[in-house]
Amino acid sequence: MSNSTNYEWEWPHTKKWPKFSGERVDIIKKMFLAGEALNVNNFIKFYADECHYQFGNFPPVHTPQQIADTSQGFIDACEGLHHRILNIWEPEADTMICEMEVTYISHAGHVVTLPCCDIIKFEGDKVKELKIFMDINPLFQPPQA
Amino acid sequence: MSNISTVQNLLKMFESFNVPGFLDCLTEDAVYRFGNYPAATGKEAIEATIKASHMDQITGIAFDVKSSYEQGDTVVVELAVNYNMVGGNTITLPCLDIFRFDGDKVKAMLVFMDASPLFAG
Repeated sequence: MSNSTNYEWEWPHTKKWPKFSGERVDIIKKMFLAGEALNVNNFIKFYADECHYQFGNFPPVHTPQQIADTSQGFIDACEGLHHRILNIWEPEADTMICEMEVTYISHAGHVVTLPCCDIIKFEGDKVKELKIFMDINPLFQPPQA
Repeated sequence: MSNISTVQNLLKMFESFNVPGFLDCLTEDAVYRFGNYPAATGKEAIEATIKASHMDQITGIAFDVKSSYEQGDTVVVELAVNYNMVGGNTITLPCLDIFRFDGDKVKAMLVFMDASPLFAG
């Protein structure tokens, strides 16, 4: 019998995106779930102490704390998001490529869906490199009349 | 010719503004998508899209291939794209292209990048 006052959440879980699975894929799924929860402290736990993180045209940063620091503007602009994973490839050892459509909702209720592709390089079970290729500008622009 | 060689060839045609040569690498019903713009389907629509998009802002383009990957009928290329702007400035932007092949022709070219700095002047 479950105790109604004690919610034991499976978190982070990997049941989302059931079409895609595997050891590295599950790490990516958990990382995306931390991102979707807008929980930057959980998100940066996936990264190696020395890493390379680049979002679009922004300059790359190289530590988990720098990832957290530079994510604040995005978190301020965004009420929520969903990664629709279209493909994940592992073309060589430790390198994953993830093609997606990412849907964002702003605090004003403005919803945009944007194409995105990530290159993710691992060192053990930590992310050593994440490069995000996309044009995020529509999230920061007011809806067109 | 391997799929990666076809991609290298295709990028060279882009650099020399050889639109007919580029179109010749594509299937008749190919899909081309640049950034957040709607995808164009078919050679005629792709030609119109390429000519209407960013060609007016630039006098030259050069691709610096950082890495490339091939899996099945898909080639992924990571690039630094160097644009020579009308007016003399140069802008370098990160870019990733996904190419999907049907035999030796490209049936989809998806360009993931933020090209907004080209239009910021």
